[in-house]
Amino acid sequence: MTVTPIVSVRNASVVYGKTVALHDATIDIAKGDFLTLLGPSGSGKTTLLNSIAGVVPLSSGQILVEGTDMTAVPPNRRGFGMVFQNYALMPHLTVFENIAFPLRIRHMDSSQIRTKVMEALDLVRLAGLAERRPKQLSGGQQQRVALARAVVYQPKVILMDEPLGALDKQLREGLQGEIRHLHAMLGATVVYVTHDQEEALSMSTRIALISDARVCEVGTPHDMYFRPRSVFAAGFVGTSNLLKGRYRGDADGWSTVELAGGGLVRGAPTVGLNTGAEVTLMLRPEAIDLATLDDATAGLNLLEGEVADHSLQGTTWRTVVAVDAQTRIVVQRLSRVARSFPVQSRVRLCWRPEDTVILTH
Amino acid sequence: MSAVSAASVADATHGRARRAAPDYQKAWFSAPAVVLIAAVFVIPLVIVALQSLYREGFTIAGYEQILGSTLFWRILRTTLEITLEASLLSLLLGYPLAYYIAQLDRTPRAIAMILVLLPFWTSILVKSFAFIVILGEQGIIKTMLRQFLSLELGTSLVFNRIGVMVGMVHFLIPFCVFPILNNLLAQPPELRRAALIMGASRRQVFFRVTFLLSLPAIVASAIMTVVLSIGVFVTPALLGGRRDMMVANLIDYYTREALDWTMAAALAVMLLLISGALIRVLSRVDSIDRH
Repeated sequence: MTVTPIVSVRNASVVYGKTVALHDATIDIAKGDFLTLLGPSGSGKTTLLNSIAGVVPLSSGQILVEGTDMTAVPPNRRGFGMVFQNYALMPHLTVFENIAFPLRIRHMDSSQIRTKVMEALDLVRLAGLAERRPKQLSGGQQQRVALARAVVYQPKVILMDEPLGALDKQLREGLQGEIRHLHAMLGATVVYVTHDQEEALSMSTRIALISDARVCEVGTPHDMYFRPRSVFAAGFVGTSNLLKGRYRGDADGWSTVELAGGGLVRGAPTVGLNTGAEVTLMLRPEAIDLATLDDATAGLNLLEGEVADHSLQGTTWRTVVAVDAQTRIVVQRLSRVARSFPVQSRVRLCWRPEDTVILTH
Repeated sequence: MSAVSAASVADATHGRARRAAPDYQKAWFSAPAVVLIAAVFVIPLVIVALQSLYREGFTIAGYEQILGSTLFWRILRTTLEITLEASLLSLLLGYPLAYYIAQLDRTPRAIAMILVLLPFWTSILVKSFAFIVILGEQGIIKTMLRQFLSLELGTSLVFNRIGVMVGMVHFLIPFCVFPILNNLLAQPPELRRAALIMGASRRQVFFRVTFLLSLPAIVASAIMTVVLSIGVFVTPALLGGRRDMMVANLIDYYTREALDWTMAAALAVMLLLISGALIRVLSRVDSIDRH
């Protein structure tokens, strides 16, 4: 861990009058990272991105770039690139000139500019459109021009502010692939802002979850999904069932929790809990299976309930099971292999103890 | 007559926005405006045009006389000089002003806009007389320079080209500031931000983004100031010297003093054609930029 991170945000805060837009954010971005700042709208993720870019000044804290303090350095001398939600292409310039813009700023000679711009255009598969104006292109094409413009001068870090937010779902998925591909091929470092948790999961090497102006959790997509460390993360990333309960000590290498509605459940071992402490259990819908009351279910957590809703989603059956008057648990099972249960049938929910995440906050 | 005009107006507007299907029914809504313009503008204009060709029978003597007169060519030259100088000066002063106002917050911006508009609310005659007082030999400027700097300016500030320029620029500034300000405020801030993050210095951001994007507004302002100044007549008459006579003043002379309406009408037609030609040239610059 002696490698200096390419960008270090240290205790960064941004305050506008009485509004705290960012509070004490600390995060390191390593070279080659694809770090996604994920959070609901208004959570401060764009503020964090803009302070890294230098267009929003910090009220306190520091931004280090390769170990050098850049907090007071203006955006044009930070050596970053940026992709905006609304593309921000120059309407008075052709596609070629838009991509050449950062190179002309750097007074590169024109034959070199030509080669680089053409390479960048090939990269985003727009080689034939060099002489068009941005207005003559579709939204997806415009964003690919913006991507080409952001990579053509090999900035240290490429910042992306909800770049796919203005596009429809199908285009978004196509471009997600392209951005991932660009990131992998160029070995670029990307800081990506989105409020779309699926996008964050599928694209990032790391996710920083932002809520209420704070960086509340940082981890790989896998950790964030399977081992979230907070109730907020569990609820925001993916679909989850959250059950209230009290910790009742460890047994056989598992932590046991007594559910609020009754019943003992075993979960992944959790350290530092006092017996009787209030906890929240997180269960992913796809981690749960349904069984009839007389199926063999050794070694699994079991809860009985009644099927309240059962519908085909395509890939999965989505079944809602009412365990008691307050608790409903969503279960998703592959429709091709799983058994179908009629509404109102009594079923048994069963899942492995290691798929139960015990959360304290 | 009005029915025919209404249809042709509809045609003209249709020609500009070719996408929408023509709706001749709605063209009737423009009828009142068309009637008014016809009565107070088009018909008198036709009469003026006819008048320019009439002196006890059809004649082109008026035009011959004008084109053959050295006075006319001198005055035309002065007119074009004053027009271009005043337009250029107004743009040079108006652009930075608009740029500054565009950076202001809401309230100060509103105040600044009112200040720019203020000259609009005063009669040009009153303003001109005020300038005579301010710029004159015993006026506040010359007195202050004498008093505090013991400086005696070699030139007068009024009854010469300087006086004309002060008066005209004062009158033209709002016509430059508002189109440019509108344009600057409509430019998406992300463009400047994008340029900045890509490494452009503030100067580069201005010249490569802001300024280029504001070119259409500059052209619009230039057309406005040219149109407004080419026919100006009170300002040079009151604030100018004998050599600052403009075509409009010459027309005034022929209508009111020489009572030669043929000449006056011919001059008016010439002025119209010249300003038409100037606008044509300027809007071509605009369309080149826009392509």
